[in-house]
Amino acid sequence: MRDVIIGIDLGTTTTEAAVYRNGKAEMIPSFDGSFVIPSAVGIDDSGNMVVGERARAQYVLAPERTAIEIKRKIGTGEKICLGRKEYTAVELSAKILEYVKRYAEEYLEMPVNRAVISVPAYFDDIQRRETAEAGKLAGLTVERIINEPTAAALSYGIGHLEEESHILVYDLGGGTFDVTVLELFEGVLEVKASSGDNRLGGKDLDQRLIDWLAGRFEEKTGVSLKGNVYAASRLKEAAEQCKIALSSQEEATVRIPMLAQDGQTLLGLEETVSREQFESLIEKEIHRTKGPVQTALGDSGVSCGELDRILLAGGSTRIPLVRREIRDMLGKEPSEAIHPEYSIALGAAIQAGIISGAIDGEDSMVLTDVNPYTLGIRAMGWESDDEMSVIIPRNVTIPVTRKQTYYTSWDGQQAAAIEVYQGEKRRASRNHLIGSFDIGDIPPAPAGKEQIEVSFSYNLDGILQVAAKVVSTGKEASVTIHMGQEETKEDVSGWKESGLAADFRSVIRRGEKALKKAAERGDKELAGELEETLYDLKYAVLKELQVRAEELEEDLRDLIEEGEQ
Amino acid sequence: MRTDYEILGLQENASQAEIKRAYFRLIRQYTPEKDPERFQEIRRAYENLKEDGKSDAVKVNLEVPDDELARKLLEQIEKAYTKKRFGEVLGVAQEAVRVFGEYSGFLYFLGIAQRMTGSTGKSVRTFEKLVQKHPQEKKFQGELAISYQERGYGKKAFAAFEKAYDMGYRNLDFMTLFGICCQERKNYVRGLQIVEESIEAAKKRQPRPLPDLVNLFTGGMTLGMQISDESFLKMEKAYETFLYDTGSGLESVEEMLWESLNAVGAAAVSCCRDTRIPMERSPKLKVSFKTAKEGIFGLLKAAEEVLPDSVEEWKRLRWRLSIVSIQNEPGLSEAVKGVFLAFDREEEWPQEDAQYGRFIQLDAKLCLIEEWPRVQKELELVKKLYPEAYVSVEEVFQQIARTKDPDRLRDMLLKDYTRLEQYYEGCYFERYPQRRPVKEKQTWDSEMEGTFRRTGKKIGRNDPCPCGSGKKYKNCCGRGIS
Repeated sequence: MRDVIIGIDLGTTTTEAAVYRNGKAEMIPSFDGSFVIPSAVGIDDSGNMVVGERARAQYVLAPERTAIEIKRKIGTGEKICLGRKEYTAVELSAKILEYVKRYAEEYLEMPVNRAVISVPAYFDDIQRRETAEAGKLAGLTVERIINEPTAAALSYGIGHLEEESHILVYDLGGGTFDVTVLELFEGVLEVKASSGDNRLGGKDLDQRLIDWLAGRFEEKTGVSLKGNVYAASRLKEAAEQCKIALSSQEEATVRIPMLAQDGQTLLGLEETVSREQFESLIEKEIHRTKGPVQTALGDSGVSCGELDRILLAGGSTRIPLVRREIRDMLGKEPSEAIHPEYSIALGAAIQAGIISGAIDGEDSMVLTDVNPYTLGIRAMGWESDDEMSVIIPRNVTIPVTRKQTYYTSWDGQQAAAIEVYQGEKRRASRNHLIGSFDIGDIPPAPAGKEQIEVSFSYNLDGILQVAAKVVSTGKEASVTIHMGQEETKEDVSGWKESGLAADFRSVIRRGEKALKKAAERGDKELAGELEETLYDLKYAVLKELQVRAEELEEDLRDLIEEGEQ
Repeated sequence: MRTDYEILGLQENASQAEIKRAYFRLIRQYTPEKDPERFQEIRRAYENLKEDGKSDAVKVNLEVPDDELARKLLEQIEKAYTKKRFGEVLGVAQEAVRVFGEYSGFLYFLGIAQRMTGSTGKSVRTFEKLVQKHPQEKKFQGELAISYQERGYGKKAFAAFEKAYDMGYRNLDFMTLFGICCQERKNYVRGLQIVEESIEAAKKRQPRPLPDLVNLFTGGMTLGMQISDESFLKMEKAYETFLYDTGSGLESVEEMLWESLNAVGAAAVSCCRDTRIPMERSPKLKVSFKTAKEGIFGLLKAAEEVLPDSVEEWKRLRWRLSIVSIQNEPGLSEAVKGVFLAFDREEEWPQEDAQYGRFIQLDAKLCLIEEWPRVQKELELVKKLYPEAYVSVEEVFQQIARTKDPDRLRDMLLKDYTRLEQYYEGCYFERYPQRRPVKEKQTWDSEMEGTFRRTGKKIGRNDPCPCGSGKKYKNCCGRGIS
């Protein structure tokens, strides 16, 4: 038997695993026999790490040493406190993956060392990288990071190889919303466009209900639940159950005895919520899915009428209002062809099967994917010198190489700064600067005479190669950007050697002092902002980006002032 | 170099279905993982050959002479045209017309390039020629209308727009300009019709042309406010729905949206801004202040919700529009309105005018003190309707509310005010002439009146006071001097 690769859907609230064997994908049961484990990690009374159901069970009792919704912290660099120790989101995600690895090994009765892990399509590259890192920490070689909607579509497509259709996957999970438009044709699954919202999911729906319940409680008893961690965790649990109940029944009652105290009296909460009430609470959130659906359809060039199938993934798509909204939006019933909670893990397992060779030949599928964000450089335009000149638009099939020619902007210009940005805004500086370099030795000539050719190559692993060439002399300069890696901080300590250092030395010194003070005061937010701005400024000074440095200097001054108040 | 057809292994006359099938067959073989180079090549060929059916261009017969060179030139022109290099289009088209004569293929691009490079008059003549030659061609008629419009021949443009419209021309740019033309001709109802039709058409396009839509809604709102409450409200609701529906997709046109709401908002809620600041007189709007205000703030709310990343920008805009809106709010006295104008944070007074900024703030404060405490009720109203604007000026109110002796505060401010009042024009003394201090000899401005020279005899500290009290000067009127 060949080395097995499993597929893992590492979700915000739950995690599932599947494997492809004996010609089909199947779910892997956990130790207690369930296919779904909660994505929770905690430390129990005796100081041991617990994962899954046991961790979730203790959340109500000990929220301060239990972590849930870890996925939301991926890529943010935030630390998570468990008891007295701090963990990164990567470390905690690794604990969950390790747990999955253990139960998969027991079930399959063989070592499991390789995996395909799914992530939301709208995850940026830092988030992808960190997910892969978590896999590595758990002792798994991550063979591929697959987009969740693509996985869902794959789990459908593998059984419908002959079909020619346009598919829209609507994936409303615990913490993220994704929409992807695909075309299935001749055994090729082509992603045409992806869009989404990284901060919209079932958890936000729970939150609406929690806020409402807490408001009612305060109205009735006059006791505020703000800042009460224990009440919050119990409310959360109850709200989630209420939400689930309302998907199948018209009314649900939330009963939490002894939720809070008013002097000596213990106060409980009892509230009946009708489906209608719940729907009016979450209406706005559900409405927010409309934008990304429009964007994805627009970018793919597929109209509503051309869609053949709407697949649902993610637990939140069980909510009747979501289904109604989809029907209103797209004029079509969502398909029941796949299981909303298992399909992603199954799809990941199928991708794993393709990689391992367990699926091949006629049965196999080919997947093509797109880049989720627009890439370009800052250029001089009609209106300003801060225009985002797009080189690779979003939702272009990757791998891809694109070129664009630029002209010198003033007489005798001998160098040009190539600043690479990622984002949808028209003004470059409002997008995300992901790298920069200079190209020099341009022969002096009148403005507009010399041409600079800039080419972008974006490959399957999300690595962007940017090269610039002076057309007349053939001189080249280039940079490779591991998307998102600029966050892992390049060494900027050499900024003092830069030609710009003199101009910014004093402000940087003041900034560092302010940072120290803010840290001593325990003002984490300000300290974080100061640190980030200082880093960016040093980086700009180091790279001699005068304009950018001046902008940052402004920001820094504002922050310093804020600290002094 | 292999052609796109060769890469896909097809004949030159292959159908779209064959192209698609060939592409998918090939990438099953050359997958992006196994052979990224080859995959990209196949993909590029496929994209070149695939008709996306996105453009709404009307197919016109652009005739060129049956000649190798002529076709080459047209190809070159079209290429430059799609890249928006109008200078090049102009040059080549001129050359082509000179060599081959006035074929519609060359004239059409020549006219467009002339317009784009600023020679609107020439462009008008080119299109007039084309329309004369091909009176049935609606595209030429439409382009002629656009050229008239750009040239500023409003009346001719309007007629030409109507004609092309009747012929069935519905190009989006054309329709947008038609709307503008109607507005300039003060034919608001017709304009709104055109804009509404264009919006419907634009909404159906895939992908949605967001910049065009924002422009159209801006135009529609402006027209609506010239017609009636109903028209304005209908357009406003449509705009709002559009914002909510497009959601985060609006990111790419965020600045346009800001400009749009700023322009529409300012026009709608300000019919008569403060009279002290001269402003171009805007025509009297048909929309009522109440409707305009509710509409604009509804739109702002939508924008804030769908683009939460830029919440600060939206807040700023809301603040600005609040200030303008307060000026029209019924039930507010001039004194209260004045305070909000004077403390408008956004109006950053240029350095040399910082003095003036201070002056009008003093002016507003003084007026407010006069009306205190009658205006407190009004302030409650502002607090309820425009919380942000209220908060930003709250300090001023509190200062007045806190003071135990308003007369003293007034006198203090009055001192400064009187000094500045010589240079600037305020409305305080106009409204409250009794406050104007009796001009004493001692107030002397050396800048304006030259060096001060005493006319009478110098009064010593210990001399009897000239006021006739019999006390020493230093103990009477001269107290505190020196």
